Amino acid sequence: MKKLLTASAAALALLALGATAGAQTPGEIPFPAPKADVFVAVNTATAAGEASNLTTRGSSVIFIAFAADTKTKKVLTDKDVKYFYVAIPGQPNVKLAYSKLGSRYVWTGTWTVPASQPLGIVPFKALVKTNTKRYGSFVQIGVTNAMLTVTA
Amino acid sequence: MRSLVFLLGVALVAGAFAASAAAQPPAPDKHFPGNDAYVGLATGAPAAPAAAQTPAADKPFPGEVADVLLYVDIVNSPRPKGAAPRPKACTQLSSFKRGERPVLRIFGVETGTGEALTPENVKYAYVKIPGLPNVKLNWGPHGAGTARAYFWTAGWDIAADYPLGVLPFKVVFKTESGKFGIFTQDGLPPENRLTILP
Repeated sequence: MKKLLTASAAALALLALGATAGAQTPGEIPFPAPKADVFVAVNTATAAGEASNLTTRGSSVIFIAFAADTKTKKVLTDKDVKYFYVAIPGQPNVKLAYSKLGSRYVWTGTWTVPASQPLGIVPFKALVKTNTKRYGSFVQIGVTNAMLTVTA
Repeated sequence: MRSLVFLLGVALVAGAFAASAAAQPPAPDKHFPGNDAYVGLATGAPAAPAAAQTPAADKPFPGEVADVLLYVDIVNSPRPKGAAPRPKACTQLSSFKRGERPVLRIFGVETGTGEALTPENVKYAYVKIPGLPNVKLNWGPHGAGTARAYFWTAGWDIAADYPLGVLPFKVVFKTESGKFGIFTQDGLPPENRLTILP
């Protein structure tokens, strides 16, 4: 009986450990990373300003971004940043400018989709470096239908 | 002693059940953001503090400093209840018709620690929509293969009589450490904001 009790207790302890870990399963990696020095958010819009991840050759994609240093909590302005740009494979970097959009200041940049741009997903990234040498980046959530896509 | 063994056995079975439920992967045939309804009351969630709501003009978006930073976009659900599905689901949009189902996708960090927002450090998270009960934000996996990632989502069906025009929704996070993250589209151009069409 003692053995049975010990075995049951051990199994219970293991399960308790498993249950605790279950609340933060190792596979549950938050997007885009468990931790960030500089948080970056980038949304895309059409030239008319509507949110969209779909574009066509010859059209313009507007990148609308903001970033903040997670240590100082400060949202970055043009005074805080060494560089902030969008990198598109095979294309020159799209420099983001701190500018007024509506009544707010955000970082914006425009990419005109070239006629030679392959159709399909555009796996862009945004990269920022602060004057205090802290880095941040943005990548799109990996749900293909919601990623920036050049359509025919 | 027998009772003790019995109790341990019951606890063991209950624990195994809970563990398997927690570890259960989503059904492979589920579509983003899931087959189940996402709408639910954020029960017990107190109202968000009034402070963060309307940012002043000429300030950086989303504010000069922030305790919690949020990325937010809106996609269309593949199965709207009151409208014909669009040719392509899960695309980012700012305009939705009555009967369609917008789904907010959100990830973020808590400043100070720089840690991502997960159920481990979030006390509650919901979307406040004028005229509707709060819509709870759900944490879950989306995407396929190596791109599969965890973030927060919430969707709701736009009623046939819901007011037209810009819908000033508000995303509210409260962390376990007592910090609030509020996201609104205030100050952005109207065409970029969530808008309800006939």
